[in-house]
Amino acid sequence: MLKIENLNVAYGDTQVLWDLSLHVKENEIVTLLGPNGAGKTTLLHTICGLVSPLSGSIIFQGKNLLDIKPYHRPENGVVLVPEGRKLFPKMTVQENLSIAAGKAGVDKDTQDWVFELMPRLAERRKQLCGTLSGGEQQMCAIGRGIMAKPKLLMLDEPSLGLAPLIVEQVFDILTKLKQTGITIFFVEQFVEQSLGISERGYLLEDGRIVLEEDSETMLGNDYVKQVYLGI
Amino acid sequence: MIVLQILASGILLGGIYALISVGLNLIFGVIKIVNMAHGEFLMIGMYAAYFIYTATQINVGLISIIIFPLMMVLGYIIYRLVIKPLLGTAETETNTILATSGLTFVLQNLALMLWTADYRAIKTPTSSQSFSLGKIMLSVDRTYAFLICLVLVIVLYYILMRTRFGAKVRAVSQDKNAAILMGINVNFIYALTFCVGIALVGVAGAIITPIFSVYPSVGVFFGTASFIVVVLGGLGSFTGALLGGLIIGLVETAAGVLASAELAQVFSLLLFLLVLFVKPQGLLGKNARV
Repeated sequence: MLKIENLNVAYGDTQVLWDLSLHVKENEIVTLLGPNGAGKTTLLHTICGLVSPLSGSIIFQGKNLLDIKPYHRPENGVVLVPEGRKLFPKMTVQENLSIAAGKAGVDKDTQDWVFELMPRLAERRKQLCGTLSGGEQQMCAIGRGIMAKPKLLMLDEPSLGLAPLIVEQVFDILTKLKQTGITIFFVEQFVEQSLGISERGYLLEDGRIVLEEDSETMLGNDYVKQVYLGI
Repeated sequence: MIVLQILASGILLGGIYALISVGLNLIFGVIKIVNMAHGEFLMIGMYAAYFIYTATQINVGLISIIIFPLMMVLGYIIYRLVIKPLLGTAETETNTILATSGLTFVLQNLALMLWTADYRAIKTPTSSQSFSLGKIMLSVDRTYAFLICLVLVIVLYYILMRTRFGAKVRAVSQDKNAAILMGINVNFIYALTFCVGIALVGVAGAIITPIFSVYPSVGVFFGTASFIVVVLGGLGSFTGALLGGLIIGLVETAAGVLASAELAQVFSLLLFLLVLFVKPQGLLGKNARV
């Protein structure tokens, strides 16, 4: 579904991603792990078009994403839930959800499903997003992502700053999204939990993919155990 | 009685100030640039209205319907030539301040060259007429200008707050990158916002032509007034600009009546300084950087 080959990305003179290749298959959940500063967010931003690569290709469902303008990528099915939610703080929950719906306008079924999945949002739909709790904001950000009707939903550290109980809820929602046929590619620091819901994982260090395994093998990997799980 | 009269005249003037400033605030709020040449676009709108009126004698309200699209076209040309090349550069804020300051001189001197330094005024059938509302006397032209401003501000508010397009504009203003991720064409919103901001101040210029004379540097006075109004109310805050406009209108009217007309601006500037000491982000502004 998504195939990235030999991607090189730099900010000015500082190269961040080096010859990066990875792929995500239809209806998979894939986790991208790695320490801070490894280039995880940069990779997601490049896929969405907020950053342009030096070289390499990003193919999504047979189309070259780099030929598609960043703001046309959501309607092609590539949607990112950014790190730190990035909601529009002075707009209501409902407005945040509606704005993601694209040209076709708000799809009633999708919205009902979002509210069913996250009833908290329905209660708060008239409230300004800036006044929501961290967990509610993350729910709203995911809801906003779903409203764009993604084929591939990418999430940048959805668990960031959330209480463990809420993190569990978020991961639960991701599994449910997969069941409806949405492919998920997400960045995480919670190694055990995120691999628990994923088919496969990649490990990114210093801008290079150093490990690519299915989740179970990755959890059993000595290096991952030692460095990321502290066992 | 005099209090009521000041209130009424002050609100009329305040509404006009609000419309003059709202375009400046819109452009700052969405594109995050300060348009130093704001007053000069008002001057161009005034000249346009002056020439169209002298040639046709059509009512200024109707003239502003022609001026709106004309100013949008001018806005677009300026956007492409001056603003767009500076967006996304390392020092966008500083660069645009310098570039639009330069534009101020270009436009002023162009006006001086084309239309000389003469003060020009149009005389409408209603000039110097007033009507009474209870015991208050109100100028017909000012009331008329105020009503047009009111309608425009309400329409703008409705578009921003209640339409899908307005939601996109607000989204871009709150978080540009998140807006791109939501499939919004930010460059298009920028261009359109700039054009509309310029068109609004142009129309404001057209509407006040029956009240104030036009000359090449008239924009300096009104430009400064708009900056005071916008900063007073809160940068980037729509309701703040309205509040700022009303306050400045009331203060200047009160000072004009109670002290002297020459001192009116001194009082509004004093109030402005006072507000900046107490609440530097403006009355309704939050986290605004100045």
